[in-house]
Amino acid sequence: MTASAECSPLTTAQSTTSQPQRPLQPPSPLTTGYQPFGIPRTESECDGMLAAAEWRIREQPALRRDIAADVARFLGASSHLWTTSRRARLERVLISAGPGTLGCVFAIVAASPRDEVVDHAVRVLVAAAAEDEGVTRTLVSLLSGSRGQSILTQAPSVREVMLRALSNSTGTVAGEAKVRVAFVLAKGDPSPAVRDAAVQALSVMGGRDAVAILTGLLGTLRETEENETVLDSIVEGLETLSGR
Amino acid sequence: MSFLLRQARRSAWSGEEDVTEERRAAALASFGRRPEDTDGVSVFAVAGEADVALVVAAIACTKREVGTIDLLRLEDDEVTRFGSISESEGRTAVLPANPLHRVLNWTPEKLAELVSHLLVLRRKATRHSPGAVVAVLLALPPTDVEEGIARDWLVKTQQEKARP
Repeated sequence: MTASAECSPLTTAQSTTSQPQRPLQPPSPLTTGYQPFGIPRTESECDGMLAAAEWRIREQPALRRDIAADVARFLGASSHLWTTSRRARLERVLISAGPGTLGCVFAIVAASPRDEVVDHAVRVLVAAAAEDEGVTRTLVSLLSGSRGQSILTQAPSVREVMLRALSNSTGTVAGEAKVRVAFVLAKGDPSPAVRDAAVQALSVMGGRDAVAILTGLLGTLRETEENETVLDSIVEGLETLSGR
Repeated sequence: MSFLLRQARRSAWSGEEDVTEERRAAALASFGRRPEDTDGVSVFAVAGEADVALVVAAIACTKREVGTIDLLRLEDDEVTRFGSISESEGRTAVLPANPLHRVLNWTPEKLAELVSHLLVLRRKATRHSPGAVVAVLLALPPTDVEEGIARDWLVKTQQEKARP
C-alpha cells in the first residue's frame, strides 16, 4: 500500500463534491457496454487480467466502477491461481478504482458471504481506510444510518464486513463513534452474526473501557440474548481482556 | 487422528438444535461455490494439534488479521459419503500449511447435502480467540511464511505482541 493519501482516488473523490450519492450501489455493466473479464484458468491469464485491470483503471477512469464490480468477483476466490501477491494486487486494483469500490465489494459480500470472501473484503476496506480516513468515517456513517438509509437494508454479511473493517482500521478518526456504533449493533442487530461481530469489535476498539463496555453488555443481554454464540463471545472477550 | 477443517463462522455453526432460515442460509453460504472458485471449496486435512495450529496461522497470515478464527471439523468418512476429497496444494502464506490443503471439487448441490447433514448432526465450529491466534503466531518462525507482505506482517505482529 504505497500510494500516498493525496493521490488516492478515494481521497480525491471524497474531498470534492463528487462523493457518490448511493455508495452501496454497484454499477450495472449494461449501462456502459463494459465487457467483463473471463475467469482466469492459468497463471498467465490471471496476471494478464490484473495487468489489464490496472491499465484500464489508470487509463479509462470512466470505467473504474465497472472494473471494480467485475474484478471484485475474485475476492476470496478458491483457486490455486490466487496467491498472496495476486490477492494483494487485486486489493490495489479495487482501492485505486475509487469510491465506487465500497459498493462493489459490498455487493459481492452480500451475494457470497463465505468466510474467505468476507476476510478478503475486510482486507480491502482496511487497506482503503489506511490510505484515506474518509473511508472510516463513511463506514461509521453508514452503520449508524446517518445517511438517511437504515443499515438494516444491507445484508448481514455487509454489516459484518463494515464492523470488522472498523475494528481493524488503525486511523485515529471517529474512535468514540466507532465504539458507539458497535455497541448499538451488539445490542440490537437482528442478525446473530452481526451481533457476534459487534461484540468482537468492541473487544478490540473499546480500549481501556472495553471491560466495562462488555460487562455492561453482558448484564443487558444475559436475559434477552437468544444466541449462545453472542453470549459466549462476550465472555470470551472479557477473558481475553483480563488476560492481557 | 485425522480429520478435515474448514473455516466457517460459529454464528452459523453454533451447534444449536433450532436451525433458523437465517442460520441455514449462513451455513450453506459457508460452503458456497461460485464459478470463480475454480478449484472447489477449501479444507485442510489435519492429523493433530500441530496441524491445527498451522491452519490457524495460515488463515491469520493470509488475511493479515489477528482476530477470531472459527473452524468446523469434518470427519473424513462423513465427507467421503458425499464426494471425494481432492489433493490441491494450498496457496496460503504459511508454507508448511499448504501441503495440508485439499478441496471439495463438488457441485453446489452436493455441497448443500453435506451442509444439511452437518446441521442435523448439530456440528459446532471451534472458536480460536484472538489471544489463541496470537499465541500461534508468536510461535511461528517467520521463515515458514512466504517472503513479502505476509512475512512482514507476521514479524511486525510478533514484535507488537511480544512487548510487555
